[in-house]
Amino acid sequence: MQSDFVNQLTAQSTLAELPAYAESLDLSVKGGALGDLLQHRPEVPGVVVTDGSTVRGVISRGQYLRLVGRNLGREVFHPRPLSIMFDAVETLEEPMVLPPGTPIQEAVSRALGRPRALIYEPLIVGEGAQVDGLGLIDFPDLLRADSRISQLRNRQMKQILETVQEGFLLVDSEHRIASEYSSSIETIFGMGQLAGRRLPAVLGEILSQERAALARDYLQTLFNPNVIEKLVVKINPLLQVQTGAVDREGTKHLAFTFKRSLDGGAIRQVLVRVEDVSHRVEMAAEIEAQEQKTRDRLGMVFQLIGVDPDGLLAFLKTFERRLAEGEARVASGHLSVDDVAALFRHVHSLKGEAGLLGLEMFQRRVHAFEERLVELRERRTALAGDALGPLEAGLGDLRDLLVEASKTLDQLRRLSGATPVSPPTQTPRAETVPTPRTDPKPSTASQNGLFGSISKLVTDLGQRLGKPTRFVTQATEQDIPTAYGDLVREALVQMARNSVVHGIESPEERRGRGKPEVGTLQFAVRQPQEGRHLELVFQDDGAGIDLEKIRRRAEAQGVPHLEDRDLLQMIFSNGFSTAEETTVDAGRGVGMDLVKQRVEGAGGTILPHTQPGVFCAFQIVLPRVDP
Amino acid sequence: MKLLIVDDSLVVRNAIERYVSGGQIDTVFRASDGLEAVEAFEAHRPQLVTMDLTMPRLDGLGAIQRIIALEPNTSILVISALNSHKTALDAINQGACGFLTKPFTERDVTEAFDDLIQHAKDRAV
Repeated sequence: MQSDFVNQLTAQSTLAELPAYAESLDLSVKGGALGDLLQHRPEVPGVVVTDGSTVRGVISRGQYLRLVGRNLGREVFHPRPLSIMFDAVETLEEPMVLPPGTPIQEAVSRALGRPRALIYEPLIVGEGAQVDGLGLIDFPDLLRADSRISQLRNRQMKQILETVQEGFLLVDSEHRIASEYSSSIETIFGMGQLAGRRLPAVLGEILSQERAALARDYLQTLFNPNVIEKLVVKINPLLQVQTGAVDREGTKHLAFTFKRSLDGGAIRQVLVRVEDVSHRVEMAAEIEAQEQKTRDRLGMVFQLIGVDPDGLLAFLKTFERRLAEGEARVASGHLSVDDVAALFRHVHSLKGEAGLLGLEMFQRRVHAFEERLVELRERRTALAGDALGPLEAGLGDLRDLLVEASKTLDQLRRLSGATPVSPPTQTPRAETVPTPRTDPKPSTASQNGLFGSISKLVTDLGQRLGKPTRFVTQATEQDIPTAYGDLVREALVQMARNSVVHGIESPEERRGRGKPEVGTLQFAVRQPQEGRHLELVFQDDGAGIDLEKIRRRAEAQGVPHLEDRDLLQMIFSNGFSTAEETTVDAGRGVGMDLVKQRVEGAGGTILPHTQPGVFCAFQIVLPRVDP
Repeated sequence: MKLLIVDDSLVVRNAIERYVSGGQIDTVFRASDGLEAVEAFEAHRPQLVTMDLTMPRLDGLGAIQRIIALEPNTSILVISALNSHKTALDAINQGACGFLTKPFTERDVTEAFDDLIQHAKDRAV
């Protein structure tokens, strides 16, 4: 029966739940009365000894047996008053009476605090020194209760540690991880068997060595009793850290917080709480991206207001065409090396066209996508499956941009009372390339302002690069047949950019060469009355093409020695550039090969001419078409 | 209690002094670089020091080292921008007992000083 009490205990149990024996005897009774009682009640651990209404202490079964076990003990103590026996046993000066509400573990520590000879004696439980309601608790019962409660607490702790989402662990002053830590720690760190290992060493496997060393230094400060804990919270080097590849998914963002665990004023351990905050960080990044989009939208409105609306429509149309082309390629699920190069050329041209209209935001976003494409192109491998992911994302971003711009343009036109343009809709990947609807205007309108735009591009770019340059032409929009509208615009953008970036010298250099400080780009259209060809000539008065530079570059790429004529042709080869670094402005070396491809695609030819230090020119000859 | 405020910025020195004056600080000394700080410390032996880290001549780390060598029981609070965790942790491991990051508010300073003064008293016992 009594053994059952253990199973009823909870982690919060008190002395009231332990078996208590309310046997007491007054000092005045005969010692034999105690002998009788203990003989008839074998479960009783002893008696409370009282003096009238005062509690004096305890005589336990063990103490009684030791006294009467002596030679003639029974004869000496039984007939005499109990006080004789009480004086003969060792007792506390003041009887220790614990209230029934005392938690078991506290009772154990009080009991263990007694003199060594009395540690195993029963305890008195009761309210104050009242004789009524007093009871004795056997020390072994208390120990069994204590052990049961520890077991329950450990089980609870384990359950908590297994179910809690956050990572918790304790480290000692040598920075070793204690055996009990929450199981989510293993998930967060991506490794197990942490007990006994040093935390900085574990961190060294998931963070940089430098960060792990800072963690070690920080733990050291937390264990330093001279340091005020609250005043070092801000210098926690692990407040938010990014892990290396813990798993194949990539990196995680972790947040660590530390708390000293004190024991009697000494810093015994430090509690470390680890949270995987990747989700929060990603969300913040997403919000930032959203905000950037909102800012872009505002910026777009302001930019679009300043742009020639017909030029813009033509641009959006081209944008749509190139984008749909790119989407169709990616949607096929397999991109050959040539497909990647083609996609890249499309994107590169888009950038140039955006620059032509001064659409800085388009330029920036297309440039970002182009940067990714460059990496893919340089791998010189076909792409399929997961490798297409970044491309899909990039095209998706550009598609969003296009939809956004079309909507904005519509709104602007509605505001100004013009007919709205239907925005290009999201194209399902598998569909064929749609033809965007545009408003019914004479198609020559799409070239309206072309030369104005080129002129602006040249002036702006020149200004940005510190090389003042102007664009002059006698030609008018009507000189360009509709069929060649896109081609001429693309070619002009590319040649003009190349000239300003690579050809035109700085004002100082130009002065030194006896040229006017302001560079000049010229464009002419010639169409002999009866001739079957249309001839376009573009010329700058810059430094010309540096054949030596091309030769070095070609040799570096493993091309054998070439004649000057052939060297000049190198500028049309895919991926050729002598610019040291790529910028939004130039340096991809892709432009001229694209121009050549388009010209030849239309059945024409393009020829470069140069005189180093004097000029560079391109002569484009196209089959004549009806205007 | 005596306090030594070390910072090369007059504005910062004035702000700290204004925020902590009254209360339990009865005397304030000031220094505008590490060397001045060590001299002032030797002359006045304050129990409390606030220390900037980036200063001409002798920087905060050097000053902390010399002051702790003179009197290990000094309660030093670093008040500096958190440019590098390494430097911050070095300052603590040299013997400072806390770090308050710039920029700070009046409340930051008064709360930090409550802790700092309590810490200094506990040490004196």
